[in-house]
Amino acid sequence: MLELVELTTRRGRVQVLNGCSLSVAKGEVVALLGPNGAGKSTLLGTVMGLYPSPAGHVIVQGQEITRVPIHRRIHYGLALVPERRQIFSHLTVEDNLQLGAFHRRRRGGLAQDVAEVMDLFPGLLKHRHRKAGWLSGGEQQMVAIGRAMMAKPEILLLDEPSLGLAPVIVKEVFEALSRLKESGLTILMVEQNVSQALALASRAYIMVHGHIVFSGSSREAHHALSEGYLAIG
Amino acid sequence: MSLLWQFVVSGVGTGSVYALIAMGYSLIYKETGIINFAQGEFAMIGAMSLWMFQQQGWPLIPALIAAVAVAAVVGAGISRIVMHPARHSAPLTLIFITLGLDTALRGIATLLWGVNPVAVNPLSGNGSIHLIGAVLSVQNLWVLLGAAVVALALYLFLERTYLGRGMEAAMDNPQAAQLFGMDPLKFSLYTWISAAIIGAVGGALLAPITTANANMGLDLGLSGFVGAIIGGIDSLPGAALGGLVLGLVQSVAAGYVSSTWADGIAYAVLFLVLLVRPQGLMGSHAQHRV
Repeated sequence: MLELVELTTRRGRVQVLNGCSLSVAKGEVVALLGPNGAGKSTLLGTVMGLYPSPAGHVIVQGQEITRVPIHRRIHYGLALVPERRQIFSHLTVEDNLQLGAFHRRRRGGLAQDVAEVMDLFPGLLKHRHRKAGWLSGGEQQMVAIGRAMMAKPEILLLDEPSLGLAPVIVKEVFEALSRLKESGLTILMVEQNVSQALALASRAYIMVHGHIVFSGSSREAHHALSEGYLAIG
Repeated sequence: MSLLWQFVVSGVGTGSVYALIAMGYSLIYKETGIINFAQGEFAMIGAMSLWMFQQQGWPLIPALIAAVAVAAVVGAGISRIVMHPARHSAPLTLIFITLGLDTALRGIATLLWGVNPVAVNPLSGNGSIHLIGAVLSVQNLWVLLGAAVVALALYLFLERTYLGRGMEAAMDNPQAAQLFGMDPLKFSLYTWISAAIIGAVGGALLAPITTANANMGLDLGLSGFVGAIIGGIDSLPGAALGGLVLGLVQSVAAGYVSSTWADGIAYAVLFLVLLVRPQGLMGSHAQHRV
């Protein structure tokens, strides 16, 4: 479904990804773990075209998209829930969700899709017409995930969905994600909350200093981490 | 008192043109984070093109539409050929590019149309009406009506249409907008075309009152800019309000003090507003570049 081959990325003068390869199969949830600054967010950003990639390949459903501009990538079935959410803070929750479907040629059924997101996150219903920037961090994260789901992606890319959220909210967000997993959605997630991430994912990659240093099942990843193989918690 | 009322009525007339130009500044500021110093030239292009088409014997309404279309094409060209390719430059560079554009557009206009002021025919005769003691030319009514229609159309487009919401989203968070399939090239085009149209409508409607010339964009642009800063450049309604306030202050100052002092007093008001509310009357506190 998604395949990265020897992907290299620079941000300014710094090489952040040093030839990373990974793959995600259809219907699979894969976690990408690693310490701060390992390049995990950069990897997701590179998949979406936010950072130029001088070498390597991004392949989605058999199509190479390494040189496709950012705004075209969503047409390949990729949607990103970005680092720090990046919602449209001056727009209402409803507008944020509707605009997630911007690339879709036919806009019929938007109301139905918004209703599905509200089903996933009932807490958003009462904030529907409020400006998204006024919501709590957890609610904003739900808006960000909902917006991405409005694009009807084949693969959802999640960048630290639990960042800065209270434990009870993290639980709610991960419950929604596990419902999405059950519906058959393919997910690649970057997450610092290792136990939550590995509980949801079936496989994991571990990244250090722009290299992928480990690949295996979630159980193996747990084992590798608990042995202090990597200094993250 | 009736004198004051007269000054207010004329002030709202010029003020509504400033308001349109100020909204153009605000639109481009919100989209690109820069001040477009060529904004006043769209008003000049609207006014001079209207005159040109009238000289060719075109009927009024087609001439007005064609004049606005000329400005829209210029706006589209600026976006496509100049601003979009340069979008990754530093803000200061972009601002200097707009200063260059301003000079270039004025130069081209001078070559095409000369420097002499020309008389533009009003939309419906030279009549005037009496409004509770104040005299108002019919053209002034057209200015008010035109400004209101354009401002309302822009508001409805941005607030009520899906594409308009998309443009607001792109102003809010350009990167997220791109992630969701919004093409920055197209959005830059829409913004510049909108800014050009509203400026051109203002200039074309004002021209029959003030006469038109190839250099008129400089003064109008400056007034629109001051209006946008008074009202808050990151807010479209704020910019419109600022333009109206500036028109009022200039008119009242010219009436009671002297027309030579009108601009000085207007700048004093700008200074006071900036002292008390640096973000402008309706601007938001967060002064971040988008």
